[in-house]
Amino acid sequence: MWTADSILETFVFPFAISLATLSVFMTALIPVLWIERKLAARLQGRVGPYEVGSPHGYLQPIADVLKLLSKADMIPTQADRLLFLFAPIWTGTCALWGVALIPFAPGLAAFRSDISLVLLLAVASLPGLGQMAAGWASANKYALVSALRVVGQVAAFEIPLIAGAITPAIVYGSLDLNTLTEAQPAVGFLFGHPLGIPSFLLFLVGMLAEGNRTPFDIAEAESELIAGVTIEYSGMRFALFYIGEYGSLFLFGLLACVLWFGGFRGPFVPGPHWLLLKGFAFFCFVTILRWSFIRLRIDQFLKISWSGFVPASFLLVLLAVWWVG
Amino acid sequence: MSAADASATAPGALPTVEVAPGDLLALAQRYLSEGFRWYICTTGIESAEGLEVQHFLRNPESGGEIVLRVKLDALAPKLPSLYPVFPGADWSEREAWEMLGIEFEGHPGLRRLLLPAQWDGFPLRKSYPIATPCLPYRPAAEKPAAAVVPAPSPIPAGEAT
Amino acid sequence: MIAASQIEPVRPSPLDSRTGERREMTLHMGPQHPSMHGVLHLVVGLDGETVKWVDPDIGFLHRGVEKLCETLPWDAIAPVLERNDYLAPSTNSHAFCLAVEGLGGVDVPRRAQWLRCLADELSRISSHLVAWGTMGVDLGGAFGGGTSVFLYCLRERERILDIMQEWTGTRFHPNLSQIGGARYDVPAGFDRLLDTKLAEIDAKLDEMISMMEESPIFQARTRGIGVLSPELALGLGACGPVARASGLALDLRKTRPYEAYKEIDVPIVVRTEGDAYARYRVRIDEARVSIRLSRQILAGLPDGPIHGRPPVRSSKHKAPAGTSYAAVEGARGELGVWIRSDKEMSPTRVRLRSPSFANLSAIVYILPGHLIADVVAVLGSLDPVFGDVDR
Repeated sequence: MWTADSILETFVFPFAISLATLSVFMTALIPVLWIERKLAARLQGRVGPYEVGSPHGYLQPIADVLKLLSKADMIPTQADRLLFLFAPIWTGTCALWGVALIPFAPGLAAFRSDISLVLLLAVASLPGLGQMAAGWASANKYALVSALRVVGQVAAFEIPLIAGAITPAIVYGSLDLNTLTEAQPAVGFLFGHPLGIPSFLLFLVGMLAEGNRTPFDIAEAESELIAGVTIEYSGMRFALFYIGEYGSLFLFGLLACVLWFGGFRGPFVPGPHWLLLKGFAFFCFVTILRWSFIRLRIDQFLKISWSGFVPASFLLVLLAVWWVG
Repeated sequence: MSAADASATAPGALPTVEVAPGDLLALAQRYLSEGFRWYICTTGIESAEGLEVQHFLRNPESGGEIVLRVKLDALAPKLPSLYPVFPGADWSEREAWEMLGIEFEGHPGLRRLLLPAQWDGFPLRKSYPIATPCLPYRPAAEKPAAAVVPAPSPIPAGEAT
Repeated sequence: MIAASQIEPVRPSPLDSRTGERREMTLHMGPQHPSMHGVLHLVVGLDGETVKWVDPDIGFLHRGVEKLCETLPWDAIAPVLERNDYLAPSTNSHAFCLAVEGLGGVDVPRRAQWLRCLADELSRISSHLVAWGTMGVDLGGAFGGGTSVFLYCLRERERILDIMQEWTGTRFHPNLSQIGGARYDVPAGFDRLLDTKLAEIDAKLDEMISMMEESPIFQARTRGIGVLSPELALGLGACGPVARASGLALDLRKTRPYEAYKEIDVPIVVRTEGDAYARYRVRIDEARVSIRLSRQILAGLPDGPIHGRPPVRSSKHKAPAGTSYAAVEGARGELGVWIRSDKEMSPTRVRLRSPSFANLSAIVYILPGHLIADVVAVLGSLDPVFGDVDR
C-alpha cells in the first residue's frame, strides 16, 4: 500500500536530495572553473579574468559556457555519427553519477549504500570510455592517437587509483563512504595514520592520470595533438566534455576529501560547507600542480606506471591488510 | 668594369674558383678532403652574364673559405648536384631550381620547396615580373595521387612496389 | 669524416601499388599548430607512436624577399630584411649593411660598429628567451606548466624590449643599422638602464635554469633526444647553438670576427652531447654570455659620430659594382647576406643565407626513431624561425 509516508520516503525525499546534490555540485563547478583560471593567471604573473563579473571575473565560467553554446555545431562527414554524438553525452554525464554517492552531511547522501566506495570508483572511470569513443569516432588522426594514449593511460593508472582509495576502506573495515568519513581520526586519515600519506599519493597520481591533468595529460597534449580526442568537437558538445572533465576532477577531489581529509567533518557544525571548502582547497592544490609541471612522454609515463606505481600499489594493499590483521 | 673583375677588389668578396660543371663533384670532393667540410650555402644567380651557381664552403678548423662558381648555359642550365658530397645541398639546390630553373643532376628529388607544388615559372629570373598575381587554384592541374600523397618519393613512380 | 652518401635520411616509403597507400600513417602536423614555432607543415610517417620518416613542407611564410630586394633602393632594403629572423631583428639588417659596406666605398665609424653589435647582443638575449619559453610550451602544453615558463620568459624579454624602446623608440624592429652607420645613438643614462634591466634578467635566468634542470621530467624529455652528430651538422651547414651543442666550437664572433668583436674576446659555449638538452642549455648559457658582452660593449663604446654617410633622407645611394658576403652570428647561427651589385639603384642579387634553413634541414635526419612527443621537443630545440627559413 502506498501511504503518504512511503511515497515521501521512496520518491520525494530521494528525488529532492538528488536534485539538491546535483544542483550543489553543478553550482560548485563555477567556482572550480574560476579558481582554475585565476590561480593559473596568478601563478604566471598575470591577472586572469577581470572584466566579466565585476571586479574579478567571477562570471567568467558562465561566459565561457555561454560562448561554447553559441558556436556552430559541426560533425565531420566521415565521423561515426552515433559514437560521435554519444561520446560527449557519456563523458559529460558520467562525472555526475558519482556525486550521488558522496556523503555531504552525516548520513546524507543522494544514494546511500554499504558499498558506495566501490560504486564510486566504478563510475569514476567511465568517462574514459567516452574519450575513447570520441577519439575513434572523430575520423581524425590526432584524435586517434590521443584515444590510443587514453587507453594506455586509463589501464595503467586505474590500479594506483583504486589501491590508494581502498586503503582507508581496508583500515577502517568498511566500503561505505559515510562510515569512512566518521571513522577517521580528527586530523583526517592523511595525517592520522601511517598509511595515510602513501595511499593519498598513489590516489593523487591515479587521479591526475584519470583526469588528464599535467603532468599526465599526454592524451590531450595540446602542443602535439592540439585538443586530443575533442579536436573535432565544437559548441555544446565540447562544453559537455569540458564539464565532464572538471566535474570528474572535482568528483575525485571530493572523494579525496572524504577519504583523507574528513569529508563533511569540521569544527562547530559538520556539513556540506566543510566538504565543499575542502574540495575547493584540494582543487587549488591540483591546479597548482597542473600549472607547474611539464608532461611526460607516453612511453615514460607508462613505464613509471607499470614498473613503479603498480608494484607500489600492491605493496600498499598488502601493508594495509597486514596492518589490520 | 664588370662585376667579376670588381669582385677581386671588394673587401667583402670571397675567394672564388671557376669550375666547369663536369669537374664540380671532383673538386668538391677534393676540397672536402682538404678540410672544407662546412657547407654554407648554394646561390643561384641570374645576371647580365647569364646563369651561374655558387657553392660556398668553409673549413671549420682553419676558417678558410672557398666559393665554387659554375657558369651555366643560359638555355639548358644543368650541373651535377652537390648532394653526394654535402647533404645540405639538398634543400639549397631545390630552392635554386624552383627560383631559377637550374637543373641539378643526381639530386634525390627536385621539387618545389618554398612555393606550392603547382607553381608555374621561376620567380627569381629577371623575366619573371614581380607583380605576378597570386597563384590561382587550378584543380585540373592537380593529379588525384598528389592530393593524397604529400610529396613524391625519390623512387620513380614506375618502380613503386 | 663521413661522406654524405653514408648519411641518408629516411625517405617516405613507396606507395602500395594496390591500395595507393603507404604502410605508415601520415600525420600532417601544421602549418597551424600550437607548437610548430611558426608555419611548418610537417608530414610525419607514423608506425603507432614511432616516427618513421618526416617530410617538412616549408614556404608558408615565403614573401619573396630576395626578389623584392632586387627592386628596392639600397637604403630601403635593411628594414625589409629585419623581418627575416624576426625574433632577433637587429642581426638581419646588420648583416646586410656589412655586406653592402663590404663592396667598398663606405666608411663606418667605430661607434656605429659597436652600437650595432650591442643591438645584436640584446637581440640574441631576447631570442633565446623566446626559444626557452616556447620550449616550455612544447614540452608542457598550452595548458600546463610549460605556459608558466613561457610567460616568465616573455616577462623577462619585456625588459630587453624596454631597453630597445629607450634607445630607438621601437620595441622590436628598430631598423638600427643603415648603410654606413647606425641610425640611433644611445641616450643619456643608458648604461644605468642597461645595467638594471640586464641584472634583473640575469637573476631570473638562474631561476629558470633551476626550474628546468631540477625537473626530472625535463631531463627525461630532452636528454638523448634528437642527437645531431658533428659530421652531419657540418655537412648540412648547421650553425649557431645547434652546431655548438654538437661539439663544434664555431662562432662567427670568434672565427670570423667583425666590428666590435675584433676587439672583444667572446667565450664560445660548447657542449658535446648534441641532443635537445644540449641545444637548450647552450642557448641559456649564451644568453648569460650575451648579458656580459652587452655590458662590455657599452662600457667600451668609442666616441664619435654614428653615421659614415649623410643621414638618409632619400635613397640615392649606389653601391659600387662587385660581389660581397658578410655574415653575423645571429641568435640561430650564421646569418649571411651575399650581394651582387652592378652599380644600379638596386642590387642585382641578394642571397640570404639563413641559419634556420640549414638547422631545420637536420630534422629529416634526426627525428626518425623518436616518438610523436619528441617531434615538438626536437623542433623546439632546433629553434627555427620561419621568417628566416622561408624568407
